[in-house]
Amino acid sequence: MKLNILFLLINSLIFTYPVFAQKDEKVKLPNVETIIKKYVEAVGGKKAIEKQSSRLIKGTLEMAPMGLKGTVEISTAAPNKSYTKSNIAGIGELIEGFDGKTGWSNNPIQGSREKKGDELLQTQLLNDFFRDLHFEKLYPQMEVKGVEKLGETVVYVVIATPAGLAPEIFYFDKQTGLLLRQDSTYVSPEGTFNLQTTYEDYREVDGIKIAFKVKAKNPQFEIITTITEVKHGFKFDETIFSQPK
Amino acid sequence: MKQKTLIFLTVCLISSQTFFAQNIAATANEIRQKTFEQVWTTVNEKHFDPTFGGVDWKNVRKIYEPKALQAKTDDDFHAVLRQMLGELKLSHFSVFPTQTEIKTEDLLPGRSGFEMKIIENQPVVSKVKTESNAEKSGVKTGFKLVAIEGKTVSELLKSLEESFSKRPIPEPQKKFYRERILMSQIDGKAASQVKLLFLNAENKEIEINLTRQSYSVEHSQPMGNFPSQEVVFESKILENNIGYIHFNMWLISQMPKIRKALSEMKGTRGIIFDLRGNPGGVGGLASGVAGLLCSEQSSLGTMKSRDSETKFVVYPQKEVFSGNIVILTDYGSASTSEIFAAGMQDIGRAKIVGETSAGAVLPSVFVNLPTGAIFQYAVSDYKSPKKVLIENRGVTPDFEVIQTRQASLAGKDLPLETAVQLITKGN
Repeated sequence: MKLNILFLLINSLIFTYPVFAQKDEKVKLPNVETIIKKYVEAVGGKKAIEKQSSRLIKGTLEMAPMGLKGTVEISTAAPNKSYTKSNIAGIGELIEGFDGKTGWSNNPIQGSREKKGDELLQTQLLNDFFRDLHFEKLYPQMEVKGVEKLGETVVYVVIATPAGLAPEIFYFDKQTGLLLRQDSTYVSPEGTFNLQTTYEDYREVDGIKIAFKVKAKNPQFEIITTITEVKHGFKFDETIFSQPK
Repeated sequence: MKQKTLIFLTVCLISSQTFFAQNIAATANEIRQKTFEQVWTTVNEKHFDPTFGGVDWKNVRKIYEPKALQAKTDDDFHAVLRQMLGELKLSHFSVFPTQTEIKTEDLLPGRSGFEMKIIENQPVVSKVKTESNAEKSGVKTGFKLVAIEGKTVSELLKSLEESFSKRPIPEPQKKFYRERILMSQIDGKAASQVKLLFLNAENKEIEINLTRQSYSVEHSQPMGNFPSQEVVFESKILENNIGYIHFNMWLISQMPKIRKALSEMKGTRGIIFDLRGNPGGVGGLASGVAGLLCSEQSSLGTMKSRDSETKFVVYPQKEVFSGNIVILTDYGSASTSEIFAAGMQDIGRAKIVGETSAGAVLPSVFVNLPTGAIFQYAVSDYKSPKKVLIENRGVTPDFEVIQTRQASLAGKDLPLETAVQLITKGN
């Protein structure tokens, strides 16, 4: 899940999809712990996850409706460091980093800046390398809301609230345990953007299942990330995670 | 996946640029039906104002769908779509041809060597390029254009003026369209000839035959559906140690040039941003440039869509220029130029000199249509930091200075002179 969790909070009202199912008294729902445990097992289990301490992901990006295309390279390292470089045709390089304390970004439009407040809080949440294993710690409040169908797939709907941030909604495949969708909100000084993120095409890499296609959309735009390569045990130059002076 | 920067990007890239449709390729009826559906539905579902500004959008469909599907040519079909979108009485809803591939002739277009503005409601030569055929042929600033290839200006603008009578358009935007239509007739294929009739300084008719010259022109890379654009940038230090920056559009490729110019102007007492005739571009660049001029985080205003509200946040950069800023605007300053001008004016960082801007400011996106044309639609409104809606209103200058033909004949640029005076006085 760590690789795929993108954004926080949900404002379900903004989506035109049917409101998720309420608790059905006739269906006995599993508790949160069971769902998360099943999810961790589904993506490879605690042992396989803990075995890795760094990861390099390469992929392609498509952004609709603007028709933008590009590539992305994501470097992450335990316990909570990340460096993401996107290269978009006609725009150039967009870089985002987190060294465990400072979140920052640099792009050809805004220049460089440091993240603060809720945006930094969200960055911290997103960058826990072992996020899948720390789920219950990162989301102190979790509740199983019910079951719902995503297409033909039955999912458990879990509302998870991280400390200091608004709730998100997770949709776990009842059968496989995998995370299929997440409704959340991206926080930034520009404002908040409601997002629905779907995870598709799970593939196993070094014993860990990773969604190779991630679609994040809201009523105005959609970003599709297609992973082309995943490498574990990568030794990064630690300085890449820090904000350039 | 860390996609936060990308989400920001999709918001920033929402462009603010006005476009003018030209030729459209032929398509089949079935494709036209799909195209109509896409355009109407997009507006229906994504217009930032769910009331469509009081327009009965469902009824609009009833009126325009039969007309569109009866169109005999693609040009006619797209014209009907534009008429339909015109019912919204807003900028940034249009259909225009795709231009994602740069052709050789686009890289070497034929230029007349002069620029023209609508001054005192008449087309007047505003700038003559040094060493150009125009200069060599005797074209001078202040000349009034009378005719192109034997057709009078009135004749050339007749259909445009008729279209103005069909819906209310702010006066600055009318001037903008008039200027663009005439310039599109003056410039053309390299090495071709154009016969122009002017009134000179003595108001005597003077006929000039110009050979259009080819100039090596920089083009921006296409950015997804946002077509390649010509890149023009100029920076210099004026008298009294005042910086001057002018660029034709807000394009990503302008940012390194702007940064470099500002760095070179570090020791100047002030900088003039000449945004006259700048129709906009990438909306987020207004904040990006402001970040090089503001020492505190601020906002250049807000855009509100159906589902969210987004600020044009200004992030102060390491090296901020702290001197006085004056922004020149005219009827041709639209969209991102207006966001920059209105925002900088409202936060007290710049004075605006010149004419009221176009009032065509809505942030928009571009999508491909099944016919191959590009559909531009607004996704949000725009309010300045002081909550003023700029669409159809424009940015009101702090110092209204209107260029006159007399001043042009004398080689004077009145708004620029005022800007220089303001900075010199430390205002």
